[in-house]
Amino acid sequence: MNSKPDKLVPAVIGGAIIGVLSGIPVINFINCFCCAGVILGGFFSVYFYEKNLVDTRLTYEDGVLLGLLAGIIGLVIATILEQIIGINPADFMQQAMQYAEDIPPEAQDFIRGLQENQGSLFILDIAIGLVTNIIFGIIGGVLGVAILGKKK
Amino acid sequence: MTDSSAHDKIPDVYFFILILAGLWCLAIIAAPILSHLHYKASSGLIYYFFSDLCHQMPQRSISIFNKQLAVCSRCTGLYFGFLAGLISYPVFNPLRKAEVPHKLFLVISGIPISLDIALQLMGIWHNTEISRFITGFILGHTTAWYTIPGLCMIKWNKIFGSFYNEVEKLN
Repeated sequence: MNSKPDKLVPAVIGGAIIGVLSGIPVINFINCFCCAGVILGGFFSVYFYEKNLVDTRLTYEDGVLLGLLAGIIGLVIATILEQIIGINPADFMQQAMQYAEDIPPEAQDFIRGLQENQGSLFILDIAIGLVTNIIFGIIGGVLGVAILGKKK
Repeated sequence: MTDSSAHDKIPDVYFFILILAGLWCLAIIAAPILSHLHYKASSGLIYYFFSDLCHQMPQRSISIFNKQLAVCSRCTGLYFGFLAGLISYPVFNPLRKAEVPHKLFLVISGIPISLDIALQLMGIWHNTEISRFITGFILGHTTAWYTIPGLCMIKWNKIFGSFYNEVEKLN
Protein backbone atom coordinates (compact mmCIF):
# COMPACT_ATOMS: atom_id res chain seq x y z
CA MET A 1 0.00 0.00 0.00
CA ASN A 2 1.50 3.34 -1.08
CA SER A 3 1.44 6.00 1.62
CA LYS A 4 1.93 9.64 0.86
CA PRO A 5 4.71 11.60 2.57
CA ASP A 6 4.01 14.15 5.26
CA LYS A 7 2.76 17.48 3.90
CA LEU A 8 3.68 19.61 6.88
CA VAL A 9 7.40 20.05 6.14
CA PRO A 10 6.95 21.14 2.50
CA ALA A 11 4.11 23.45 3.62
CA VAL A 12 6.38 24.99 6.26
CA ILE A 13 9.10 25.53 3.64
CA GLY A 14 6.56 27.16 1.30
CA GLY A 15 5.24 29.19 4.22
CA ALA A 16 8.75 30.33 5.09
CA ILE A 17 9.22 31.54 1.52
CA ILE A 18 5.92 33.43 1.72
CA GLY A 19 6.78 34.80 5.14
CA VAL A 20 10.18 36.14 4.07
CA LEU A 21 8.85 37.58 0.81
CA SER A 22 5.92 39.20 2.61
CA GLY A 23 7.39 40.25 5.93
CA ILE A 24 10.62 41.98 4.99
CA PRO A 25 10.34 45.59 3.75
CA VAL A 26 11.30 46.30 0.13
CA ILE A 27 11.35 42.56 -0.65
CA ASN A 28 7.60 42.46 0.03
CA PHE A 29 7.01 44.68 -3.03
CA ILE A 30 7.01 41.42 -4.98
CA ASN A 31 3.46 40.95 -3.69
CA CYS A 32 2.44 44.06 -5.61
CA PHE A 33 2.53 41.77 -8.66
CA CYS A 34 -0.72 40.01 -7.75
CA CYS A 35 0.74 38.35 -4.64
CA ALA A 36 3.52 36.74 -6.67
CA GLY A 37 5.38 35.97 -3.44
CA VAL A 38 2.45 33.99 -2.06
CA ILE A 39 1.93 32.16 -5.36
CA LEU A 40 5.65 31.27 -5.38
CA GLY A 41 5.40 29.89 -1.84
CA GLY A 42 2.43 27.71 -2.79
CA PHE A 43 4.26 26.52 -5.89
CA PHE A 44 7.43 25.63 -3.99
CA SER A 45 5.53 23.76 -1.28
CA VAL A 46 4.27 21.48 -4.07
CA TYR A 47 7.80 21.31 -5.55
CA PHE A 48 9.34 20.07 -2.30
CA TYR A 49 6.45 17.68 -1.68
CA GLU A 50 6.79 16.21 -5.16
CA LYS A 51 10.48 15.50 -4.46
CA ASN A 52 9.44 13.12 -1.65
CA LEU A 53 6.89 11.19 -3.68
CA VAL A 54 8.05 7.66 -4.46
CA ASP A 55 5.36 5.46 -6.00
CA THR A 56 2.40 7.82 -5.74
CA ARG A 57 1.18 10.62 -7.98
CA LEU A 58 0.73 14.29 -7.23
CA THR A 59 -2.95 15.19 -7.05
CA TYR A 60 -4.78 18.51 -7.10
CA GLU A 61 -5.95 17.81 -3.54
CA ASP A 62 -2.27 17.79 -2.55
CA GLY A 63 -1.74 21.11 -4.32
CA VAL A 64 -4.70 22.81 -2.68
CA LEU A 65 -3.85 21.54 0.80
CA LEU A 66 -0.18 22.46 0.46
CA GLY A 67 -1.03 25.91 -0.90
CA LEU A 68 -3.59 26.47 1.85
CA LEU A 69 -1.19 25.42 4.63
CA ALA A 70 1.72 27.37 3.12
CA GLY A 71 -0.44 30.51 2.86
CA ILE A 72 -1.52 30.35 6.50
CA ILE A 73 1.96 29.48 7.80
CA GLY A 74 3.38 32.26 5.62
CA LEU A 75 1.00 34.79 7.18
CA VAL A 76 2.09 33.76 10.68
CA ILE A 77 5.79 33.99 9.78
CA ALA A 78 5.33 37.35 8.04
CA THR A 79 3.50 38.75 11.07
CA ILE A 80 6.22 37.52 13.43
CA LEU A 81 8.94 38.96 11.17
CA GLU A 82 7.19 42.34 11.09
CA GLN A 83 7.04 42.36 14.88
CA ILE A 84 10.73 41.43 15.14
CA ILE A 85 11.77 44.05 12.59
CA GLY A 86 9.57 46.50 14.46
CA ILE A 87 7.13 47.42 11.77
CA ASN A 88 4.15 49.14 13.30
CA PRO A 89 1.35 49.07 10.71
CA ALA A 90 0.05 52.48 11.83
CA ASP A 91 3.48 54.14 11.66
CA PHE A 92 4.21 52.45 8.35
CA MET A 93 0.97 53.72 6.84
CA GLN A 94 1.67 57.22 8.19
CA GLN A 95 5.07 57.26 6.49
CA ALA A 96 3.63 55.75 3.33
CA MET A 97 1.02 58.49 3.13
CA GLN A 98 3.67 61.17 3.61
CA TYR A 99 5.73 59.94 0.68
CA ALA A 100 3.19 58.29 -1.57
CA GLU A 101 0.65 60.76 -2.82
CA ASP A 102 -0.46 57.94 -5.10
CA ILE A 103 -2.62 56.31 -2.46
CA PRO A 104 -6.25 57.07 -3.37
CA PRO A 105 -7.69 59.74 -1.04
CA GLU A 106 -10.51 57.40 -0.04
CA ALA A 107 -7.95 54.89 1.18
CA GLN A 108 -6.06 57.66 2.98
CA ASP A 109 -9.20 58.70 4.86
CA PHE A 110 -9.94 55.07 5.67
CA ILE A 111 -6.42 54.53 7.01
CA ARG A 112 -6.52 57.74 9.08
CA GLY A 113 -9.72 56.51 10.64
CA LEU A 114 -8.15 53.19 11.55
CA GLN A 115 -4.90 54.67 12.87
CA GLU A 116 -6.78 55.94 15.91
CA ASN A 117 -7.39 52.31 16.83
CA GLN A 118 -4.27 50.30 16.13
CA GLY A 119 -5.91 47.11 17.32
CA SER A 120 -8.54 47.39 14.58
CA LEU A 121 -5.87 48.05 11.97
CA PHE A 122 -3.94 44.96 13.10
CA ILE A 123 -7.01 42.74 13.02
CA LEU A 124 -8.03 44.08 9.61
CA ASP A 125 -4.52 43.47 8.25
CA ILE A 126 -4.61 39.89 9.54
CA ALA A 127 -8.07 39.30 8.05
CA ILE A 128 -7.04 40.68 4.64
CA GLY A 129 -3.78 38.72 4.79
CA LEU A 130 -5.66 35.51 5.59
CA VAL A 131 -8.02 35.93 2.62
CA THR A 132 -5.31 36.84 0.12
CA ASN A 133 -2.77 34.28 1.37
CA ILE A 134 -5.30 31.45 1.22
CA ILE A 135 -6.56 32.37 -2.26
CA PHE A 136 -3.15 32.95 -3.84
CA GLY A 137 -1.51 30.11 -1.90
CA ILE A 138 -4.10 27.70 -3.32
CA ILE A 139 -3.57 29.14 -6.82
CA GLY A 140 0.18 28.60 -6.41
CA GLY A 141 -0.38 25.04 -5.22
CA VAL A 142 -2.73 24.18 -8.09
CA LEU A 143 -0.34 25.74 -10.62
CA GLY A 144 2.42 23.67 -9.05
CA VAL A 145 0.50 20.46 -9.63
CA ALA A 146 -0.46 21.50 -13.18
CA ILE A 147 3.20 22.20 -14.03
CA LEU A 148 5.04 19.57 -11.95
CA GLY A 149 2.48 16.75 -11.99
CA LYS A 150 2.99 13.92 -14.42
CA LYS A 151 0.33 13.31 -17.05
CA LYS A 152 -1.46 9.93 -17.16
CA MET B 1 -17.71 11.22 -1.35
CA THR B 2 -17.78 8.74 -4.24
CA ASP B 3 -16.29 9.60 -7.62
CA SER B 4 -19.72 9.89 -9.21
CA SER B 5 -20.97 12.31 -6.55
CA ALA B 6 -17.72 14.28 -6.86
CA HIS B 7 -18.38 14.60 -10.59
CA ASP B 8 -21.89 15.80 -9.85
CA LYS B 9 -20.41 18.61 -7.76
CA ILE B 10 -18.22 19.94 -10.61
CA PRO B 11 -20.73 22.50 -11.95
CA ASP B 12 -21.36 23.75 -8.38
CA VAL B 13 -17.66 24.18 -7.73
CA TYR B 14 -17.13 25.84 -11.10
CA PHE B 15 -19.93 28.35 -10.60
CA PHE B 16 -18.76 29.08 -7.05
CA ILE B 17 -15.28 29.94 -8.33
CA LEU B 18 -16.77 31.93 -11.22
CA ILE B 19 -18.91 33.99 -8.83
CA LEU B 20 -15.94 34.57 -6.55
CA ALA B 21 -13.82 35.79 -9.45
CA GLY B 22 -16.70 37.93 -10.69
CA LEU B 23 -17.07 39.59 -7.29
CA TRP B 24 -13.30 40.18 -7.16
CA CYS B 25 -13.40 41.97 -10.54
CA LEU B 26 -16.56 43.81 -9.55
CA ALA B 27 -14.82 45.15 -6.44
CA ILE B 28 -12.00 46.54 -8.61
CA ILE B 29 -14.52 48.55 -10.62
CA ALA B 30 -16.75 49.34 -7.63
CA ALA B 31 -14.09 51.32 -5.76
CA PRO B 32 -14.14 54.43 -8.01
CA ILE B 33 -17.90 54.15 -8.57
CA LEU B 34 -18.58 54.05 -4.82
CA SER B 35 -16.26 57.00 -4.34
CA HIS B 36 -18.12 58.91 -7.06
CA LEU B 37 -21.39 58.15 -5.25
CA HIS B 38 -19.84 59.45 -2.00
CA TYR B 39 -19.65 56.05 -0.29
CA LYS B 40 -16.16 56.94 0.91
CA ALA B 41 -15.85 54.33 3.67
CA SER B 42 -16.77 51.39 1.41
CA SER B 43 -14.58 52.74 -1.35
CA GLY B 44 -11.70 53.26 1.08
CA LEU B 45 -12.01 49.70 2.38
CA ILE B 46 -11.79 48.28 -1.14
CA TYR B 47 -8.77 50.43 -2.01
CA TYR B 48 -7.13 49.37 1.28
CA PHE B 49 -7.86 45.67 0.61
CA PHE B 50 -6.12 45.84 -2.77
CA SER B 51 -3.24 48.03 -1.49
CA ASP B 52 -1.30 44.89 -0.48
CA LEU B 53 -1.72 43.39 -3.94
CA CYS B 54 -0.89 46.38 -6.13
CA HIS B 55 1.14 49.61 -6.11
CA GLN B 56 -2.05 51.54 -7.10
CA MET B 57 -0.10 54.28 -8.86
CA PRO B 58 -2.75 56.55 -10.48
CA GLN B 59 -0.58 57.29 -13.52
CA ARG B 60 -0.51 53.56 -14.28
CA SER B 61 -4.17 52.86 -13.56
CA ILE B 62 -7.35 53.00 -15.59
CA SER B 63 -9.80 55.64 -14.35
CA ILE B 64 -13.58 55.88 -14.12
CA PHE B 65 -15.22 59.19 -13.14
CA ASN B 66 -11.66 60.58 -12.78
CA LYS B 67 -10.99 58.04 -10.03
CA GLN B 68 -8.56 55.16 -10.49
CA LEU B 69 -9.65 51.54 -10.34
CA ALA B 70 -8.67 49.64 -7.21
CA VAL B 71 -5.63 48.13 -8.97
CA CYS B 72 -3.30 49.24 -11.77
CA SER B 73 -3.99 48.54 -15.45
CA ARG B 74 -1.70 45.49 -15.50
CA CYS B 75 -3.35 43.91 -12.47
CA THR B 76 -6.77 44.80 -13.91
CA GLY B 77 -5.81 42.91 -17.06
CA LEU B 78 -4.59 39.93 -15.00
CA TYR B 79 -7.76 39.62 -12.94
CA PHE B 80 -10.18 40.26 -15.80
CA GLY B 81 -8.14 37.90 -17.96
CA PHE B 82 -8.48 35.24 -15.27
CA LEU B 83 -12.25 35.79 -15.22
CA ALA B 84 -12.38 35.58 -19.01
CA GLY B 85 -10.38 32.35 -18.84
CA LEU B 86 -12.84 30.89 -16.36
CA ILE B 87 -15.70 31.73 -18.72
CA SER B 88 -13.96 30.47 -21.88
CA TYR B 89 -12.56 27.20 -20.48
CA PRO B 90 -15.80 25.13 -20.49
CA VAL B 91 -16.59 26.42 -23.99
CA PHE B 92 -13.54 24.61 -25.36
CA ASN B 93 -13.03 21.84 -22.77
CA PRO B 94 -15.56 19.71 -20.88
CA LEU B 95 -15.12 20.44 -17.17
CA ARG B 96 -15.38 16.75 -16.26
CA LYS B 97 -12.33 15.91 -18.38
CA ALA B 98 -10.23 18.50 -16.52
CA GLU B 99 -7.61 18.79 -19.23
CA VAL B 100 -4.68 21.10 -18.58
CA PRO B 101 -2.94 22.61 -21.63
CA HIS B 102 0.71 21.85 -22.32
CA LYS B 103 3.07 23.71 -19.94
CA LEU B 104 4.60 25.49 -22.92
CA PHE B 105 1.50 27.67 -23.31
CA LEU B 106 1.90 29.04 -19.78
CA VAL B 107 5.51 29.93 -20.55
CA ILE B 108 4.52 31.54 -23.87
CA SER B 109 1.75 33.56 -22.19
CA GLY B 110 4.33 35.00 -19.82
CA ILE B 111 6.54 36.31 -22.63
CA PRO B 112 4.48 39.42 -23.59
CA ILE B 113 4.23 40.67 -20.00
CA SER B 114 7.91 39.95 -19.37
CA LEU B 115 8.91 41.84 -22.51
CA ASP B 116 6.57 44.72 -21.65
CA ILE B 117 8.21 45.10 -18.25
CA ALA B 118 11.80 44.34 -19.29
CA LEU B 119 11.86 46.65 -22.31
CA GLN B 120 10.37 49.46 -20.17
CA LEU B 121 13.08 48.98 -17.54
CA MET B 122 15.77 49.01 -20.23
CA GLY B 123 14.35 52.23 -21.68
CA ILE B 124 13.76 50.67 -25.08
CA TRP B 125 9.96 50.79 -24.91
CA HIS B 126 7.45 52.88 -22.99
CA ASN B 127 4.56 50.65 -22.11
CA THR B 128 1.08 52.09 -22.23
CA GLU B 129 -2.15 51.47 -20.34
CA ILE B 130 -3.31 49.28 -23.22
CA SER B 131 -0.10 47.24 -23.42
CA ARG B 132 -0.09 46.66 -19.66
CA PHE B 133 -3.77 45.62 -19.69
CA ILE B 134 -3.45 43.31 -22.71
CA THR B 135 -0.26 41.57 -21.54
CA GLY B 136 -1.79 41.09 -18.10
CA PHE B 137 -5.01 39.82 -19.69
CA ILE B 138 -3.14 37.19 -21.72
CA LEU B 139 -1.32 35.80 -18.67
CA GLY B 140 -4.44 35.92 -16.49
CA HIS B 141 -6.53 34.14 -19.11
CA THR B 142 -3.94 31.38 -19.54
CA THR B 143 -3.48 30.94 -15.78
CA ALA B 144 -7.20 30.26 -15.43
CA TRP B 145 -6.94 27.35 -17.90
CA TYR B 146 -4.27 25.77 -15.66
CA THR B 147 -6.09 26.25 -12.37
CA ILE B 148 -9.79 25.69 -13.09
CA PRO B 149 -9.48 22.02 -14.16
CA GLY B 150 -7.76 21.10 -10.91
CA LEU B 151 -10.04 23.20 -8.72
CA CYS B 152 -13.13 21.56 -10.20
CA MET B 153 -11.83 17.97 -9.90
CA ILE B 154 -10.87 18.26 -6.25
CA LYS B 155 -12.84 16.33 -3.65
CA TRP B 156 -13.24 19.30 -1.31
CA ASN B 157 -14.53 17.32 1.67
CA LYS B 158 -11.27 15.32 1.55
CA ILE B 159 -9.35 18.62 1.70
CA PHE B 160 -11.10 19.78 4.86
CA GLY B 161 -10.54 16.41 6.51
CA SER B 162 -6.85 16.42 5.60
CA PHE B 163 -6.49 20.07 6.70
CA TYR B 164 -7.91 19.18 10.09
CA ASN B 165 -5.45 16.26 10.38
CA GLU B 166 -2.47 18.45 9.48
CA VAL B 167 -3.49 21.11 12.01
CA GLU B 168 -3.86 18.37 14.65
CA LYS B 169 -0.21 17.40 14.06
CA LEU B 170 0.85 20.91 15.09
CA ASN B 171 -0.77 20.48 18.54
